[in-house]
Amino acid sequence: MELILSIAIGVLVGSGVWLILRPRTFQLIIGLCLLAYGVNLFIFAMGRLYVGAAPIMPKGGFVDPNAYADPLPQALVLTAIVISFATTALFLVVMIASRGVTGTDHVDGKERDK
Amino acid sequence: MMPEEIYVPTHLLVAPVLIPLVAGALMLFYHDRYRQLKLGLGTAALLALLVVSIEMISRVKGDGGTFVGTYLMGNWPVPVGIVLVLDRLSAMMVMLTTLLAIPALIYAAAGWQGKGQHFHSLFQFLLAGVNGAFLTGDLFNLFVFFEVMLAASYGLMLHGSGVERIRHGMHYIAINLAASLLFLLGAALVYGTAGTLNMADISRVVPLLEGPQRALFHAAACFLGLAFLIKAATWPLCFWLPGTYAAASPPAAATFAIMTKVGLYVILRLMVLTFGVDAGASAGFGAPVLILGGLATMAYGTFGILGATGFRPRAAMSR
Repeated sequence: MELILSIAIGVLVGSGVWLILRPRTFQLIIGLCLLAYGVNLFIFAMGRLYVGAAPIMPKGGFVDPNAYADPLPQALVLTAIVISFATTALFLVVMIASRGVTGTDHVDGKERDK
Repeated sequence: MMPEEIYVPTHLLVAPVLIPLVAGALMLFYHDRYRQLKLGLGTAALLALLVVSIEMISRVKGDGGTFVGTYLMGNWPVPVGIVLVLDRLSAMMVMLTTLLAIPALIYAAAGWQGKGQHFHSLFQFLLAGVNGAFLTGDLFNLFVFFEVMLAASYGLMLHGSGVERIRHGMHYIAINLAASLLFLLGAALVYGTAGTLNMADISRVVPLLEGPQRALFHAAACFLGLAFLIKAATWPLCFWLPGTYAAASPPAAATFAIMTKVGLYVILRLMVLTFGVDAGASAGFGAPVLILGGLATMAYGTFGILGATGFRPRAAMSR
């Protein structure tokens, strides 16, 4: 499972980095999304990988921490997802505005060869 | 922790975040034609902030030992819950923010406030984010305040619209989104190796790390350092800044000057806390890079000012 997850994160981040280095705004935003997914999976993996373990412990008495998943990375990843979703939406608006005022989808607002 | 440090819980600590947040939210209830009302609200909030920051400075000034104020958000015990920490450095930075914001707001009243929507609300949200970043003692909470600050700054950056501003605004947003992801990576790695996100707790754990854990922790520090050096615009990560700040509307650009300081402040804080003299094998990690980067940035800024052709790029370079 560790191998599959690390390959998945690697592929997501690799494609994301390649895409944000491309000149079109659409490629840029897709790249940022992929990067965010990769990072979110990474945060999730930082709480160690568990199968079939709940992150919520029962109240009172002694509980065996090994039988439960770490709840903190899950809370962190939730926050990170919300924030990256909101900033991506904001970026989308700027992207559309840029397309509107410059008439091109190049990130510099003008084509290179002109 | 040192025995001579005194911990006094005080509700004053949360005021620099709450005042601008509430003021900014209140302004949203009014249409943009009530500009003078919004200006009045904003000025009142800033004056309240000034009073609070003066009070905080006079409290931390102390006599002899270091005074550290803490505030438990949600009243959870320290390594678990989020904590706000006030010491001399953060008190000074909050005061600096307020002192910078007041003239910027007064200048904006001369006309820039009317060039677009919701200038005053965004301005207050920016201040809430900056103050929160200065006061928080938790790495992930720092990320949240950073995002509050950045989200407001995206709006302020585009305030007044125009082709130039939108073009540079897009670069600015893209670079900051990428840097935020680096920040997240670093924070996650810190949690994975040190097992905590509380800054004081991290500094306690660092000397105890061993072998591969320490190497991974150093990798995490590199990620965090990279993210903050991008935001602090240290050479060679600074090429987004001159264009962006020159294109932003003047009052917004003036307030943005404090945002690079947030990056520097975090580097200073984390450096001293995690890689200070008590850090064992990690002491002084990354210090040569920071010194060289700082020198190169100063050189770049100086030559940039000399070579700038107009007042706006010159002012932008001087950051």
